[in-house]
Amino acid sequence: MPGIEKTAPRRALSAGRSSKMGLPGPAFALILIAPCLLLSVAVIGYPIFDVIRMSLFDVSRTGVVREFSGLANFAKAFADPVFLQAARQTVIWTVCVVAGTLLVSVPIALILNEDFYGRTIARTIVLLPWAISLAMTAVVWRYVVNGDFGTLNMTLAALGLPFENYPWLADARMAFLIEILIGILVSVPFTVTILLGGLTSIPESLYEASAIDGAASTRSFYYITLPLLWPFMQIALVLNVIYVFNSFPIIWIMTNGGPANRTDILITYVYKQAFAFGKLGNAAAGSMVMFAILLVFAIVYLFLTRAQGAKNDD
Amino acid sequence: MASINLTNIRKQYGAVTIIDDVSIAIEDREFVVLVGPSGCGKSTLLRMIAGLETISAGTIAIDGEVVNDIGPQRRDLAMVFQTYALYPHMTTAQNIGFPLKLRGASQDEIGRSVAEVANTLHLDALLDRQPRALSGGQRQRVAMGRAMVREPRAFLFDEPLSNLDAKLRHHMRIELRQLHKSLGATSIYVTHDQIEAMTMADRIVVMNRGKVEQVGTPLELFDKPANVFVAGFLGSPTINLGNATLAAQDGSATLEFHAGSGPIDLANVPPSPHKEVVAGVRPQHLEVVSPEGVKLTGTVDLVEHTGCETNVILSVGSEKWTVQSRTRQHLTQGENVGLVFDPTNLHLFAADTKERIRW
Amino acid sequence: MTKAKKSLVCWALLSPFLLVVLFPYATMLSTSLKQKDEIFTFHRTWLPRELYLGNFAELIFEKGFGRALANSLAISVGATVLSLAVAIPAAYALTRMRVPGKGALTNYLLITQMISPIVLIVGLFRMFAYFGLVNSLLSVIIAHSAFFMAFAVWMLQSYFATIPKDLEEAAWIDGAGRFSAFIRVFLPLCLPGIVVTAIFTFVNSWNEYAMSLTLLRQVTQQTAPVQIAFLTGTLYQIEWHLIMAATLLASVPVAIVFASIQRYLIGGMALGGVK
Repeated sequence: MPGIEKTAPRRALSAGRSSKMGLPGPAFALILIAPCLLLSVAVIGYPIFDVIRMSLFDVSRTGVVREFSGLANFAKAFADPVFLQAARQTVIWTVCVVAGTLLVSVPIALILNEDFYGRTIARTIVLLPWAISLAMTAVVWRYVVNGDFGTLNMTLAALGLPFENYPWLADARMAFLIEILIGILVSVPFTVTILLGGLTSIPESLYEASAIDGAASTRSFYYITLPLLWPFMQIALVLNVIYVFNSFPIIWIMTNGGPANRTDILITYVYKQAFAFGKLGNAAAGSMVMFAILLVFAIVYLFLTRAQGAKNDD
Repeated sequence: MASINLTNIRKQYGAVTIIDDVSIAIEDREFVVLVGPSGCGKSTLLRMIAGLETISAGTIAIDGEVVNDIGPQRRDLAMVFQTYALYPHMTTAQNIGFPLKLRGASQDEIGRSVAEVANTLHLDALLDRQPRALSGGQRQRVAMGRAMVREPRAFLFDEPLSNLDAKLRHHMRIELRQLHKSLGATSIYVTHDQIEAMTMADRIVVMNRGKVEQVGTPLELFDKPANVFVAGFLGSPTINLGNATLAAQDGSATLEFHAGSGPIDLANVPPSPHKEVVAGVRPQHLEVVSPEGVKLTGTVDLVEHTGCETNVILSVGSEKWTVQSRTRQHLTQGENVGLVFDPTNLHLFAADTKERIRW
Repeated sequence: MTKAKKSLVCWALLSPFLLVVLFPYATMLSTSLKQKDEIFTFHRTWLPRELYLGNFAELIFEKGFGRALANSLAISVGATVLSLAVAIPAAYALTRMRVPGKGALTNYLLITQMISPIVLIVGLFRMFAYFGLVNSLLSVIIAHSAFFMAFAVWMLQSYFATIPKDLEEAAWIDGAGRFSAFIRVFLPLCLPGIVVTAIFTFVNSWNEYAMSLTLLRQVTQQTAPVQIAFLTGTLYQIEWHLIMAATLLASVPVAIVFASIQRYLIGGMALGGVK
């Protein structure tokens, strides 16, 4: 890697000649990349800057940035019991959904990697939740678990179970649990996809070799499948942490953070602060906290993929 | 058709030199083969001629015109790639006709030229097929057809036969050579296969580590290799090379192999006697005899029968030598044998520079 | 174990999860075919009384859901076109040319993919408000393109990399200019990859909720997911039969399209993710 950095300027120099030759040089490459970069910097880069600014300044309800206030917004946020509660709940939410997702996804991926009748159909059904808007999923589930008219109680009652009018979302613990289960449900397709990609990349000959070497199938699972699948699991883990941490529609639509903020997570807290209460400085401070956490995850992800890439190069 | 002149060509990637001061003059209608081990820079050199790689220093001239700054589109060369690079979404006819289409030729013209080329290459029945429905040899022919169709100034071949099986490769070698005879087109052909180089070239350029080791006709290179590398690269089985001491006095000279031999008398004396040399004898020029009274001896390790030739692999001291003989050898492993050769077939190289000692 | 036996075991093991996945679909289908009185009754059943299609008609002709679908379509098509228009040249340059600062650029794009728009939603809203684009479909098109483009670049890159460079070089030598070689040789070969990327972007844009919710504040501009969620916020009695009909309309076509590309996602995604 350091070697490439050293040689880079000279490379650019020799490539500079080529523009005359009809092989476009780096300038032309930059022109091709420019629109993409411009769009990204304008729409993502500028808001980042704006949010950082708002988090450090006193901001009026209408969004007028007044004087510099240092870390006052952060102090206010950290003094807000709802913020702290939301932060705690974010940890529970992220850990439970990600752990649950991996726990469910690994066996499903292993099964879907087997050769059986109707595998394509099974794969399609497993991936189905990915195709549907999280917002719509949340709406449908909100109806499914509706106490009075929902299809869940209807089915349970038909099976003779005493859930005639059980209001699933009225109790905060139960509501949060249901949201976590739905979070798992919608994260499984993406995770299974990554794991299946990993499984299909394991050459069949490895299993044949280990079978010839006399390994039983449970042993070849421990000595071949698991180690080779591990990097994919790591990546699925980190990406899921990022996605779940960021996930907004399920909680927003099903319970709106309620009852009594007991299902709020940071992202719904930030949204409420900004668009319901008009506390833009507070919202910006909350956003910055989230942004910092996300950056750490992103760097972990980069580190993981680079390490993996380096291994693949050997 | 055209002559191609490379003058002091260099190619660098940062501190790494890929091509180091290469100059080659290729004459009109000549078939030149660039040969060398993988990584020697031969393909890079070819791609520089084609205009696919930039040149760090030096000039490339086609028919006297310097083309350094001219893109591959306007050099009017044709190239056959190792992978054939057939356009997968086009039929044979479309593939062959593509260069003409780009030049704005009429449908009629394209059709006529494609038919003519297809006829020469026996592709008539395959014109409507896509590349994936063709065999390796057929794809190779289509790639040739695409190169031939517009009568370029020169043909460039980048290991075009390396993806074919041995039998087909032999067949295509002959066909390509005949094609060159009938078209009389200037051709530059890159290969790592010394047999292809020997059998096809008018002249061979042997390359190693970005440098030209030697340029000459196949037999010149075989008979008078300029250095140890060329001697070792051309010829099959590989030449037997051994460090030896050359002693010359009073108009006679002797050679003593370090691996273990008595002083062997040489017919004539090199003009400037190097004491330490690398001596080489091709397997074809060695003869196995009874060991009595012979200065150079070895023990038999293995006898290979290829049918018409017999290869005897022997240990001479700590070195492995090969003897190739047209007569069947009935030798047993471990047998002690003598080796003799005609001193006129001996190649001598200076031990320090590895350059040929001319005598 | 025979394949038949194995299949039985596999399906049995998968069935709990499949049941949970399909449960909402069954709910949607069943409810959307029911009439209002069938829902708000004590004795409810899975099977509707009759195949009643009135909900769909009411939704489209009276509730203006047709407009929400049209909004969603306009935004998704716009975002797909815009993000591909910037992603294709970028992906081409990244796979085929020496780009100064390539590593930094790829890392930047990757990081933008991990930032949820909602973290930045306040800044995003203020920016579009400054340009007077709040309540304009254009704002969502631009926002979606910016957030989904990185993924498109990355997907396209992995497809482009599978097209041998030889083919373009052969075209150049055959006399094609860089642009001509791109159009005549490169583009036809990576069309499948572009189509898959386009579908993926379309589906992502179609399903997006938070940005559409925040940037489009008038009922007439709502996208389908936003309007559906909006309908559940009605104070009086939530009209579940209409809402389920709406989710069915807005999700089934997209789900079918998505299913058609799923085999391209497996493998491609994992490989890209690890490399």
